[in-house]
Amino acid sequence: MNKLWKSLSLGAGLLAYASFASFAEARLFDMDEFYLDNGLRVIVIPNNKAPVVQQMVWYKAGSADEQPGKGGSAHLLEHLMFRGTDTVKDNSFNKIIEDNGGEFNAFTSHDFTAYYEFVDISRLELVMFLEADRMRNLKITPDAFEKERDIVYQERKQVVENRPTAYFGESFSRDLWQEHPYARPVTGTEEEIQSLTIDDAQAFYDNFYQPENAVLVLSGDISYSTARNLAEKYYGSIENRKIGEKADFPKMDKFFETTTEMKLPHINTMRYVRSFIVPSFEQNKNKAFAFAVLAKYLGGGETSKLYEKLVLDSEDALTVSVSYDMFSRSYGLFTISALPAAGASSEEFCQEVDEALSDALTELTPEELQKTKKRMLAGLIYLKDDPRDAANIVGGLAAAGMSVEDIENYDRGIMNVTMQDIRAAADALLHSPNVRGVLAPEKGKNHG
Amino acid sequence: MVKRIYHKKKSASGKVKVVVWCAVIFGIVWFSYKIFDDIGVFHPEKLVENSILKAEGFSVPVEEISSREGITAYYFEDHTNPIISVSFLFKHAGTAYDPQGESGISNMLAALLTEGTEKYDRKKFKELSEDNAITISFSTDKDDFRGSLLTLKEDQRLAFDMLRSVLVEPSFNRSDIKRVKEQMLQVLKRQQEYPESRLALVWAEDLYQGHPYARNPAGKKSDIEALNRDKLQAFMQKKIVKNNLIVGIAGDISRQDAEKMLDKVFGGLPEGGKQAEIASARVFFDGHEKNVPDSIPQVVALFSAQGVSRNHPDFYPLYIANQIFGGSGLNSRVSKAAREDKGLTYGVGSYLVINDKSDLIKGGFSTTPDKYRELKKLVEKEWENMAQGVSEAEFEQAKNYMTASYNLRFASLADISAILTAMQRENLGRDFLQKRNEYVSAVTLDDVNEVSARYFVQDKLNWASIGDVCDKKGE
Repeated sequence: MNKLWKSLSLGAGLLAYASFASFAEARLFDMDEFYLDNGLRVIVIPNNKAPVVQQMVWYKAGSADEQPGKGGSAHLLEHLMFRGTDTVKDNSFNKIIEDNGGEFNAFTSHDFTAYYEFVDISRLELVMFLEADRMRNLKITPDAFEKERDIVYQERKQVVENRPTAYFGESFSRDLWQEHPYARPVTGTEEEIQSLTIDDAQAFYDNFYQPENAVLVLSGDISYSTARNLAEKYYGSIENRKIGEKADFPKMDKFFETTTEMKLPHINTMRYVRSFIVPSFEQNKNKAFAFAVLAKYLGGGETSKLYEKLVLDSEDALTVSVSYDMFSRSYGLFTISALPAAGASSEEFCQEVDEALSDALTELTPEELQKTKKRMLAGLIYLKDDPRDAANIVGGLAAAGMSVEDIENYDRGIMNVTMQDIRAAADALLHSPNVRGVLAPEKGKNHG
Repeated sequence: MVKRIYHKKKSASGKVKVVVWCAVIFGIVWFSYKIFDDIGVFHPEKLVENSILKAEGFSVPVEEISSREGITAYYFEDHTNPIISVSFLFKHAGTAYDPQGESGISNMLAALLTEGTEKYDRKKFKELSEDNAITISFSTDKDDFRGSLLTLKEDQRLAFDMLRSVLVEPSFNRSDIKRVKEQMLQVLKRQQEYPESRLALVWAEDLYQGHPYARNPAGKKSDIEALNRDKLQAFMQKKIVKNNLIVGIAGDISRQDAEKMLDKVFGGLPEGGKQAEIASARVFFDGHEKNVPDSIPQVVALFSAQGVSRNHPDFYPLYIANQIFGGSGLNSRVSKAAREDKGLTYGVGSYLVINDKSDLIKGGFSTTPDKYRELKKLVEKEWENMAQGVSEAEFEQAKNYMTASYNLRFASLADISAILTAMQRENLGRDFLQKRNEYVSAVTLDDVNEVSARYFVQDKLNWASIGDVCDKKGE
């Protein structure tokens, strides 16, 4: 369930690694994009290094679109998508792909649900057939439903409740997002999972698994024309039906600032995180690029300002980094995370970070801005190496509302950020709703 | 007579009718079967057969190159993108080979090598890396010390010089040592926060007893605290040397440049003397379970049994047998039985562990305490069933998986250069990538069944677990 965020922040991270010099003219991925008559958006990213291809289907619906009290239905449906159609019965989907040497999986986030198969090129048609088949013909049986509900229950226990940091993360999200759907865990709560019914999963499927609500990505050893023909052949006949009502995201533009501290058994070292609710790319393109540059300047890597101040100079932290997730359907998230050095109290550390942040923002010069932008663009070409990376990044960006031109011209978006833009972003940041969170050892434990 | 003839005639025409009707009925049945067969039943193999995209005779031609000074490497040239990936390792410089009283030193070295050199001080090193998208990184496993370099073709001279400098003149500044030490001490504390990492330590201690494989790979607190610049330099002098070096190069670089690079980057390393050896691990597989009681929401468990070394004749048959038992994907016997059919866990599986001093079949899962006993019994039952052999269909499926997935490993240049290094590390031969599918195809069902009977032995599966394994509902 967190994979998406990993892949997107990996995307953001990789994109944030990039060299303008070699990329001023070239298109980043040299993609092709087209729409089928039923509304399905198709993106083709050729890569001829090896005869392999990754297919992804991104549905622009996730846990944020669940009905109240039905938490976990998007994620449970994701699991049920591997449990058969009239043609591909029970869990033979898994067997067929494994017979054909494919890797496959799926993930759910607040905004999206995505499915992928990574296969030898000779198996692409097969997995296109399979993915198209379950876009329309999923058959949820009571037996499969009950098993998968048990499995996602165990999944939640494993990835959230058995991990103290994940448990803290959920509580932190509730404090930050409040009434916004992003406050709710993607897995749903334990009680919600137990009370879900077939109808809940079926309703989510009927509402959102429609061609017009999906993006198909083909990344690998395939030509534009073949991709067009095959997309039409397998997905073209799926009739688009009415897409259900999606999440109504509440406005979160009222400033608030809180600090939350949690002590948990098993925790031996302190963690610090501070998240700000800021605009996403979908909400404001130009601001999004400015926030991306600001994040890189403050905490992208070991040459960043906060790393210099907190890790190298004052030695208050063992590490610090800043990330900005701009690829969401509602607000974006700007996050500072750090591991404090031994000995400091949480109050002291929060104060150290606040001071370093405000100093770093005042010290921002045009030279620093230039250097930061250049670093963000160095090495963008690495994204062309592995077709899986390209599919993940492009799919995520496209599902979040980016056009192919936006993606191809990512470098220009970054280069166009001016001193004025980044100053405005810094100012907006400090006036955005935000929460500081500290996860600390229980009393009496040395957290060094 | 007439009657009889009539009768006969009648009978004959009756027979004809019967035959005709039979034929018609057969025809209808056959025809509808064909229709049903084509429309109602899905034939994935037909779809693959009729696909316009055919399997390609793709090969990664590997060359062995040698520098003027005699440093060799496996090399694969690829001009798809202007990127170069170099992967290398120093054999037997991993955590199990940390000198007595200096546990953690290989890990500390891996962290400190990217903290600046005499020529490129820390700040300069980090800035050059970022400005030019040059990634140099190091890591350790039990056996070896590993490094990698990723660079754009246009920056290769700078990238190679940075790596050279890292290997022969690292700074090891006092402040950097202090910081890395603190980070390592925190890692020791964080290991105790997650059930998986706690279990990994308990598992290794229980299985390997006093052997170096039993050590915490992150080191011991008192050892880490006592590490210093002199110890790091002495370690490098002994372990980061030419005579245990293995290199793989992939990407947009000419053979000539690659050969020059070898001397430039690695030529300044010491030759190296006789390396310290460690003994093979003597592991007793007696079916016991080591449990760490804890009230965490889920029990986490690991199981292990005797495995096989990479070049042993049993390797491919056992690999296939494990693929059927608990290999990748959800379709293995244990995954079907425990996850797909019963919903007892989010995931259960197993894989072959190949280490120099111990080879294992190792697997694991997490589940709530009330399900633990049932799931453990299920794994043991499937384990024992393996000794009875596998079906022809399972055997074919596992082989198909292995051959059809073959090309997926060439997705990135970093993957390819790592394969080139591994091929040399395990002595697989320069033609391995061409031969590998033949090795798989050559395995017979009898081979797999014979090997299964010898490795999947009842009561020889050792267990380690953390959590409440005595839950009443689990009885």
